[in-house]
Amino acid sequence: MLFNSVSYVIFLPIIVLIYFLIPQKARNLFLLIASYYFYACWMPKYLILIIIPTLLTYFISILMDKLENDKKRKLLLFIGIFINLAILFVFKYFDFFTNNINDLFKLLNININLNIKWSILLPVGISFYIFQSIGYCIDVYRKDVEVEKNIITYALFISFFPQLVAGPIERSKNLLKQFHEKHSFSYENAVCGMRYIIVGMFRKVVIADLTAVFVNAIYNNVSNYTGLTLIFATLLFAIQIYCDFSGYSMIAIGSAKILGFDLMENFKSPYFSQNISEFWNRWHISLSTWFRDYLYIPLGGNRKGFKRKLINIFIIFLASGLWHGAAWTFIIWGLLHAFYRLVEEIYKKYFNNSSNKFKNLKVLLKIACTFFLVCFAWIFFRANGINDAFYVIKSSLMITSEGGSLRSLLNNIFLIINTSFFNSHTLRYFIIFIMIFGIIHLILEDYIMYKNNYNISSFYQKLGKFRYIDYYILTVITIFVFVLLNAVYGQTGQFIYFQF
Amino acid sequence: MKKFLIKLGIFSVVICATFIAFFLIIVYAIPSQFNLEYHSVINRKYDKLVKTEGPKLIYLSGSSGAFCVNNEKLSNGINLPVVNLGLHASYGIRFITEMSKANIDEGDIVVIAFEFTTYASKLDELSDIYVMTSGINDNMQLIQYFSNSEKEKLVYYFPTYVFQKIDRYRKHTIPKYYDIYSSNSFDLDGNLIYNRDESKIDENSISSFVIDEGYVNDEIIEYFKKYKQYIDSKGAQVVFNFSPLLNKTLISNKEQLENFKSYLEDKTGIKALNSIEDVLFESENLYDLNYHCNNKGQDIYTDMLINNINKYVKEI
Repeated sequence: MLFNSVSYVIFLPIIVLIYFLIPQKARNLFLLIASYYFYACWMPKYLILIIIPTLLTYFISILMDKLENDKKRKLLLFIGIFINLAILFVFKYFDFFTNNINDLFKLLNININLNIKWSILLPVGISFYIFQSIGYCIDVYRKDVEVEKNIITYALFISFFPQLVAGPIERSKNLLKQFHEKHSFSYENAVCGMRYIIVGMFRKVVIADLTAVFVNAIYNNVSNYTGLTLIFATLLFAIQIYCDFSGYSMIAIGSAKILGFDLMENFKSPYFSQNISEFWNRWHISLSTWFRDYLYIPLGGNRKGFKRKLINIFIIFLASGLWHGAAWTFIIWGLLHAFYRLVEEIYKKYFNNSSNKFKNLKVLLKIACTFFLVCFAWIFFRANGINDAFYVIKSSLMITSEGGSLRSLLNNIFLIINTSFFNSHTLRYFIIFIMIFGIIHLILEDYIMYKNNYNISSFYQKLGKFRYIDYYILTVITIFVFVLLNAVYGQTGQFIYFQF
Repeated sequence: MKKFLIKLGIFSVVICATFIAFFLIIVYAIPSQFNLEYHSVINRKYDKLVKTEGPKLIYLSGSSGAFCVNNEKLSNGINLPVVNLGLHASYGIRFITEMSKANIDEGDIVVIAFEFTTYASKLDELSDIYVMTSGINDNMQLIQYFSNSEKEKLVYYFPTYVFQKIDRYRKHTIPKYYDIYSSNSFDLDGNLIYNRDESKIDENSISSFVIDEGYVNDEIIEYFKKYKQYIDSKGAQVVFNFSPLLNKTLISNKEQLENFKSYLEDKTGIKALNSIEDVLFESENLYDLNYHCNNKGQDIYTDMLINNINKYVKEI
């Protein structure tokens, strides 16, 4: 079930209503059934892929808790992590792995062909719930959390529907204990949750799905475009992926909030970051902190000298690239960010000067530079292959060519609207107007939140009465665009992060 | 929870009111823009249906009804006023049939003459929301004859309709209407008045099909069974009369044609007045498509229909 679907708009209120009406004792079981139903709407047979890691980590953790011998506990932890990663490998990386082995054999003139191909559908959200299970195992091993003895509660922790398929990847320390608390309906929580949902839906349906029309048209046929059109597509992709993913996270946080649960913030105005390190503190926070807590720190973090710190950073970003997908483009994307971070660390260590001259201008330049670097890396993330990515980089520079001009860009925009939707003069201007409105709204919202360290709810609190107008405008536009996209495509877009 | 539900309710009402206001502005404040569309003639046919008192003959079909029935001749031949709802197959069987319920009187005879190929599909697969929406041409009362799934499609089609209507209003889109396919080809009662002396059908471009016992979709059988019950309850009669078709298109043998007919009659309980073989026309009797008669074909079919109806009336 997609968040941006009529089914979810019906599903959520029903769940909320029943949740608060039934006795406290039955609530976790009810949420578990609801969560499994939510997932099964996509593909019932893949439920087994949630249930297996759930049972496995549940029993391993119980055993680990009972044992005193550290070696045995470590062995259990290793088994838990290994099996979880094996499931991830089989379903996500197997084809990529065999293809690359075959390519390597070919390159070395070795006459072996691993003729095994899974070609199975990637289970939605597998990387998210597998990482959550692994995180829990490690927490229990470290004795950071008490082991969860109730299997219903634990299964719910792994499969809680708001964050099941695309995060935030919750820590047991934060979420698990909330399933033991009594949640009563709270007006403040419900209002706060609705704010998140309204903004999340607007970001996803209006900004992400409309920008996706252009990004897909251009990036799926890169060889037809040059110059400004490619730059435009890359900039739009930066907006698309941010709104797509932060939109999802907001709907997840909002849905959980209405039920009385607090999920972690996953984004904090990342495009206002002044360096890559800050960017990763603001982008997909639940994943970055997961890598920090469960990989970077165990590897030694920054405690084992500067060189080791650089190596650890490199490993983290390589893993992050791989986590995102089984393709070289994602690995290069991760390595690019690793490269940025390493350069940043070296610069900080050897060349840092903290003069206060032209402070504002410097801040602006830093934000622009960081945004440029992030966008450059997005080219690899979005391109359909490495060749396409290099074509985009090379051809983006051809802004003086005939096809790369501003006039060409405008023609391409109109053409894409006409071919992707339908031929309508009024529609062209409507789409462009809505996109500009959406992007300006996004920038203002993020800027205010960045400046004041607000979240969406406190942002609206500060807006005073004006917030009602904003809810109204966002909701009306979201519904209209939702209907429009459904009319044209038969559905609104899937969330990009579902594939991870 | 009460406070939250009240606020959420008010918010939802305001949002709904916005869309209703927007809908009304688009529909009523902007003048109709689809008057020249061929399928907008459905409004004239509907008006005729509502205004015509019974007993009368109501003819239900797709475009074959518009092309192959001379309404005036038929009316004179059977001594009953004729309401011919045949216009376009993309309205689907259900919409046209449901619309007929707007005015069924005691003694009316309803002739079901949908084109053969429409019987094979599910009811929902037959209608085209573009044709229906632009066809009803802001005559919103006709939406009541849309099925629930068509109403749902209409909601999703609404933005497209909005942009198309505004485009036309602002003269950014000026559609071209070719020959017969415009509302100008019909009189105010919805009778096709366009002269069709010639036959310009390209026989090679039309694909053939086979009909047999299992050809009719079960959903359509069930639908017609219920429709017959409704017609019976009104004291009217309902019959099938197969519509004309280019003979080369239908490659079923005699037995298969008989099977098809008897299956349809047995399952629906509705009698068929003619045999399929009678309506397999040579290309010289057809105009541009395999179900579209020219003047000559129209006369032949109308005569057949008069005979069939008169014979049936005598029987009952």
